[in-house]
Amino acid sequence: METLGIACRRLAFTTKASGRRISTQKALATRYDPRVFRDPIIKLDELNKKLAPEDEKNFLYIKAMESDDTPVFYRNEVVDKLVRVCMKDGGKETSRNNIFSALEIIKRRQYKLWREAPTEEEKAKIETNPFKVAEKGIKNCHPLMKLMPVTRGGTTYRVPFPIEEKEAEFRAMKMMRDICRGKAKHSKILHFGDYIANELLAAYNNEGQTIQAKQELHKQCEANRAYAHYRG
Amino acid sequence: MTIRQHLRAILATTSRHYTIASSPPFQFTTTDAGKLYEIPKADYDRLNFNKMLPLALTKQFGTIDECVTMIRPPLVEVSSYMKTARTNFSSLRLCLWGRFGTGKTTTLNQAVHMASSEGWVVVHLKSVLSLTRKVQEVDMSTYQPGRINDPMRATEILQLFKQQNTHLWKRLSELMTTKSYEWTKNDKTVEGKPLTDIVEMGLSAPYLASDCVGALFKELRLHASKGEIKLFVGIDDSNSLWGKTLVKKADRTKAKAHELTLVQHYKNFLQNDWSNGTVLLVADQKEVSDARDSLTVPLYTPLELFGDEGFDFIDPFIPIETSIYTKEEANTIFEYYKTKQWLATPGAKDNTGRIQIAELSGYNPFYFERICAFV
Repeated sequence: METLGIACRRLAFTTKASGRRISTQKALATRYDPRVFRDPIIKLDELNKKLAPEDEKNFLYIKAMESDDTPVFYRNEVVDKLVRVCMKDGGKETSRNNIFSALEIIKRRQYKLWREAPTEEEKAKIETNPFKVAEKGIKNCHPLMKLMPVTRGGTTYRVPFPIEEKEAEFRAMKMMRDICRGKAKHSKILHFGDYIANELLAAYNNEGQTIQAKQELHKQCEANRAYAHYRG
Repeated sequence: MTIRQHLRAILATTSRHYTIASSPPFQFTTTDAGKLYEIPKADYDRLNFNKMLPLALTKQFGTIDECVTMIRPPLVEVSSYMKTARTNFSSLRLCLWGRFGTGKTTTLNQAVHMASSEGWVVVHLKSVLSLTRKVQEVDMSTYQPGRINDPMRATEILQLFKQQNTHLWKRLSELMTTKSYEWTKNDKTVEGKPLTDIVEMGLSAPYLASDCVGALFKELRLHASKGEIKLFVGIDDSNSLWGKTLVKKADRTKAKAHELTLVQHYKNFLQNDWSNGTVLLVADQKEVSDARDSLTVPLYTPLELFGDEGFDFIDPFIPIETSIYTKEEANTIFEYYKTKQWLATPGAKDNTGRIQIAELSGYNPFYFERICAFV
């Protein structure tokens, strides 16, 4: 698995078809001098405790908290990642507003279904927590494989590779983002957040264009199964 | 037993975890402040609150399917001043002011409901900015040279007036015009005709609507002063009556606000020549704040927002400040949302969620609702 990971990284670094080069290099410099800076305490219950007398944080500087680390009760890793994936030109605030507005739309629709459901049993089946809907929607879009170009003897083949959980999550979000961006670009009424809400809800029920794109990818991987030995 | 009393009896028997005010809106006292009360669906529709309230709030009411708002101290203050309205006492001018999101528009709407349910005639304007910055049609006045009419907005105003006062329409049709109006050579409303004829005239002939609005308002003031009706006038963003406009005149200069007919009609409510009514104004930052200017922080006091000219015009008036939630008020709203199962995230329902929502929103009612919307 380790060798495969390295191979993937090398390929990702050299490929042209992927469009974006992912650097695997370590950061050369940091604005926080590791000799005098320590990580901040993020968890609320730890914050309320007293520091131990021998703790270095008593006399060293503390790094600034990342914006994703604020200890709010609605912190959700999947939603935070979706915010980062949908970010454009470093506008994280805008992206967060978009995603949260999508969550609001989801919550309103689910709440309405819940309110109008006639029996308690049916009410219990409806998920009104938008974070849970987003998590499951993204989970349903996880692809099992990816296609990478590999050149052998002057011909470039699209070779299926297995992927790990984190990358599958990223690719699911990216597929969803690209579909929604394309739609939002051509719409004068609806915004990106509206389309993300639609897609998340559709994906939650295993429907929608992102699920279709995932199935399409699976089909292509199946068709290119013969090239699997080019993985190298 | 009227329908309203019947509804209230039903409400009283329904067990809820939050407190609902038992007295009718007009009788609210300071002890009711901080309690919730429900605006009946029929009143909500008749007063067109779906359009008149801020968008976020109407969405919320639509989702929860009931219009429950809080009685806050400014509303109690407004109601206490409204009780003083009588024929031998010039109409009072009240001015709501406060930071963004603290409930100026909501209090205005609650007051409209309060007045309307008490049988007052209501004149309600959602935003003066719609008259000055979003003019739909430009038409030169024939009644007074140099004035600019907006027939489409005028028609909307008449339509809204008709809708909001449907339950009083019979009473209004019993009031007679005090003089003859000659709209054009052919169209006339002679003295002694019902007031509602003016509205119908404006609705059937949009090119006359702007003048009809003026005549209607004047007649309403006269009848209120005679003691035949009580009149409530609610004008949102009213500092824009002295603000900038986006109307271009023939010589390509921008028109001044006082050159617009409809603005002038609303300004006439702010004079001391009529009684038996209340005018509720809102001083809003929308007029002066500029999205591209991030450096200047405009103040939000009536003097700052109305400007010298506007301030002198409405003076004397009673300023009423709206403020952020107190801890108890935030708790009440939180408990209400919890009872309604609106808070869906597990962390939001417990004590941590309660404290965090309040602190993250800075106890600002607008942001409080915004955070509750997605958690």
